Amino acid sequence: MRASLLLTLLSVALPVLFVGSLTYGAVSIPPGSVLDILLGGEPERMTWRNIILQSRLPQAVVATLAGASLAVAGLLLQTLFRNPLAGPSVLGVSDGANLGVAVVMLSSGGSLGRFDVLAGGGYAAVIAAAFAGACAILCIILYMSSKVRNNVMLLIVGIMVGYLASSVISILNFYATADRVYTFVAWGLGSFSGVSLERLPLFASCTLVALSAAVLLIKPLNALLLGEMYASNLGVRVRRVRAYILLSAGALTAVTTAFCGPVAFIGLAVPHIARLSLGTSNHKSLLPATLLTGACVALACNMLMVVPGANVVLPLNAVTPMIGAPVIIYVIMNRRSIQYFN
Amino acid sequence: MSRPVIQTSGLATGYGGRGRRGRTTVGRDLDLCLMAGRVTCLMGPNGSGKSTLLRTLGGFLPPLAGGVLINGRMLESYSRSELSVLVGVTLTGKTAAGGITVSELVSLGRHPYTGFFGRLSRHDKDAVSRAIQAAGIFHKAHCYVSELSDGERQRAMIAKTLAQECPIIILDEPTAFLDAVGRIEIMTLLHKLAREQGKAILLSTHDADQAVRTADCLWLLSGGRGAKAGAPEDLILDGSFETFFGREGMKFDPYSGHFEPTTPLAPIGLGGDRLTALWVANALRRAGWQPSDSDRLPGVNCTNKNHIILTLASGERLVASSVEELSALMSRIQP
Repeated sequence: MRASLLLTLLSVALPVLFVGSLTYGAVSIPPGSVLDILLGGEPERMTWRNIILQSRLPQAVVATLAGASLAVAGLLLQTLFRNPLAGPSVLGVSDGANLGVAVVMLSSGGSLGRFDVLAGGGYAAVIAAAFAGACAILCIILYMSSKVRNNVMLLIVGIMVGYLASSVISILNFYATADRVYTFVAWGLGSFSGVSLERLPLFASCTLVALSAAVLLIKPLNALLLGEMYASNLGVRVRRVRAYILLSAGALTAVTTAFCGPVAFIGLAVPHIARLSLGTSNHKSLLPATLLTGACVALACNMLMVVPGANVVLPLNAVTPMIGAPVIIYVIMNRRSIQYFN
Repeated sequence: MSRPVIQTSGLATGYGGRGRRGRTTVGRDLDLCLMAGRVTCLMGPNGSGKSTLLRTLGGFLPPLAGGVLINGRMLESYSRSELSVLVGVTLTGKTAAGGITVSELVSLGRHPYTGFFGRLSRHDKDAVSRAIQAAGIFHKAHCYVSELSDGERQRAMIAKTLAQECPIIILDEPTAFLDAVGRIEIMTLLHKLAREQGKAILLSTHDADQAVRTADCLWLLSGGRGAKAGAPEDLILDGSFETFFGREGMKFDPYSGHFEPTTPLAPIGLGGDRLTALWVANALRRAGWQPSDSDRLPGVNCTNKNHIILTLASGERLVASSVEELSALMSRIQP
């Protein structure tokens, strides 16, 4: 009852926020014109058309998919590790992406200026590097997961691998020029606006495949709530399912981080928001709710990034903690009400 | 009528898997046989490998040596999904299921029977509600698991195992957190399942009284000495209880069926009303006396529960109006 109500609410909120994201921005465009442009009509000004179709539309789509991806990845990892503080960033996957990008941005020779790196071929290289870095870490974690049977130990291994990647990044930063460090830091602030209309299909298909893989895991995820031994007694092939979960969560994080930069907090906070408002950890409703909430929160963040009145857009990672941190604090203060992880 | 469902031969249990290095053998040379239609209790001191044996039989740990046959087939040859409808387990240890309701938890027991997304059929729902009813957790069916007491949580996990509808049920200390009546309820339920549905039930317990009273068969386990199986009465009469559990300063009294400290007790006479004398004897033993029927002095004669006469060695007679008062009088004379 509560589940279907919330899911309906979210399904209504999502298109509203999506349209809101298209309408509301640094350049004000009347909603009527936005609709006109979307329906293929001729707008009053051609620049509006470009803003909507080339910038706002891909950005809204990316925000929707990235939010959903990160939230679902967070949920998968929280269930797998039976740890409320697990999230996409703890496995070191986003650090891996960071490292890949750092290698390209900070150490490639030649005289690429700071804008050159982000333009044209340079951008493709950044995305490829981020994806390669994330996948490399993911492979290490997957290999470790076949060796380390204890999940808490695996979590610690993930955190350690993440630290290793961060420390290499620090060293690269130390030797890089100020310009390059600046570009790298800017990338690290995260953004939904980095995916162009041409690359959108690639991003969308990658995330949609990984998201559907996650949806197929609903039944074993529920069994895993009882712990690995009970799950195995119920016929779940635990090792294989664990690899699927890691692969799916890793791919979601890798793709999103590659295209949007390391986005903080959504992966950690959204599963908690969904769990608290649903009142259940049954993945049958929790997973769809997390997916939709993630998309809604990311669209909301996307709109909050625009400072009203000024022609300025805040960095994404400056906005997400504003939504994420209070939620985490609420979860911790409120743990006595329903101990979801007990 | 009764047939063996699990047979082990030369089984060695433990952790560490393939490599010799880091391998810990907990139990060795275990030749055991679990019968359908019976309740079998597994007993042994701490660290004797009870949980390890149960985990090996449940297919969670590979045998380090020897073999396990389930219905005549090697345990290792079963797939996970085949085992999931053959052996149901209730384990000790934490779960992360606090955020689902009891009925959702019990529904997970239907996991082996449901389809890809775990949708419950009418038959599944019936099995779930029967299991909830049988395990006596019906009144909490719609509560969150995190809101349950330890005992209720135990019942919920037992209900999960019942919903799984396996012919073999393995339970690791299922009555550990239950209250005195709850223990008997669960044991009665397990008995009923064994008798009426011919299930083979294996549970570990530390409660010797309960095991002796309710088990059809006992498996005694000790770290070094292997295992011994038999009817509880046979194991008491042939002294196995003493061998497996007796240690320095502790012995098993085959007459009472209890473990008792071996400290020498001073003799005291006891007679009178049977019921009163029975419980007076209990109080006397606690105070360090060994009651006997003789007319020896000092002696206690129970007229009824409100009139208990204590005769001292000097011939002095003292009257107590309750066992508590008698104990106060007894503390004046040392055993």
